[in-house]
Amino acid sequence: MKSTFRIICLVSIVMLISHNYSWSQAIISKKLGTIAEIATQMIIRLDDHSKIKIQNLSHEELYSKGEIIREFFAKTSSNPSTKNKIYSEKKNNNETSINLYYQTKRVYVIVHRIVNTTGDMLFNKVFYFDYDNNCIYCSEWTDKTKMTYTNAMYWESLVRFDADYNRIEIDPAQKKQIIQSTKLSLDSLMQHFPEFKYSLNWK
Amino acid sequence: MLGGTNTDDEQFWNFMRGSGGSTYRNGPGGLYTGNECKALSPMQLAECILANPNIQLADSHVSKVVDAAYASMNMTDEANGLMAHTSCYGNAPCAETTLSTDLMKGILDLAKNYRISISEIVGGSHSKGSAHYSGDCIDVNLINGIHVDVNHLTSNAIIAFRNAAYAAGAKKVLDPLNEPINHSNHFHIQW
Repeated sequence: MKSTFRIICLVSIVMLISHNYSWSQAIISKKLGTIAEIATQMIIRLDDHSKIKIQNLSHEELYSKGEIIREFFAKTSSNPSTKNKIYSEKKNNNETSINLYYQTKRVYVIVHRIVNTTGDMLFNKVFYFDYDNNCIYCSEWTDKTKMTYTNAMYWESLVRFDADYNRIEIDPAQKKQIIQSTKLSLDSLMQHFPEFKYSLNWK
Repeated sequence: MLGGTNTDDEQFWNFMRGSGGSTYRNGPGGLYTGNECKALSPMQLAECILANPNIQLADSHVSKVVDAAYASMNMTDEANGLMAHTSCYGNAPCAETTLSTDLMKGILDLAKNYRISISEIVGGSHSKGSAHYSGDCIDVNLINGIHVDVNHLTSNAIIAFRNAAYAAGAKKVLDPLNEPINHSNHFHIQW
């Protein structure tokens, strides 16, 4: 009778441990699932935004979408699984750096920055890329006194706006000039990273 | 030193809010001496903020939700002696509050050396029980016309602004360097 009781206790303990193990495995799976879901949502969000006809957006919508996209790329840049390659050189006591953030073959962000000896930023240009390493955004900050940041963003067409996401109207000639200069500067930067394919097909 | 109030004064000014608030503006006879705000009341502090060209207040939410809780509306309500509205979506409590005088003095202190864009004060959806809902906190998404994130600002610039916020009396500052998960694109400054 005593041994039967012991066997029952032992079987119960084994069952309990086994149940707890599968339960904790389920929690871990759920957590992993949640992280994957969040990552997927972020990708879907970005993909959705890349298909938007931005020309028709109001200031509020442009502000909202611009902030969401910027958040996506800022988070990606800070993500531990994102790697970066840095090219830097010193010119006239200023340090120029080109920082490329990527995961495997996918390029996310390129930051081209010039900083003087006291650490002040003199120039900052940022490029964002979609899934095919196609450049969808370029922002440039060059003037500390004017404190303006001009941004060019491409979804279905090129849109230019200031740091507060107010639209800056551009005529076809300006548009052509922006596209050419953006492509030239990107080509120049990518010479330092020949292992990555990229494109800029703005029209 | 800005014209200030202490905790006792706050009760008085909360009472005074019902009287319709301040009508002072910048310019001759206004609330500014140079870049120093000589406000005495919370309403006048809000007036100083609204009149300060170095302070931009958002007139929309990133969420695109349309309500009366944009940063610009919060400050205008405060200047008019009214309660500031929180939003009513997500975790927001759908309530009203006043803006902390420490917060408004801190904003004015920061604006002496920086041009800042405030994306949220009381409005928007934040974590449950957030200091935003009690009027003690702001989100800053642009500094000197530069987006707040690691791609647009240098680490030195982020640290310098964080220190400036603490020097302006902030009790807690979260930013893209010290809390990149939820604050990758803005400063959270709490007084």
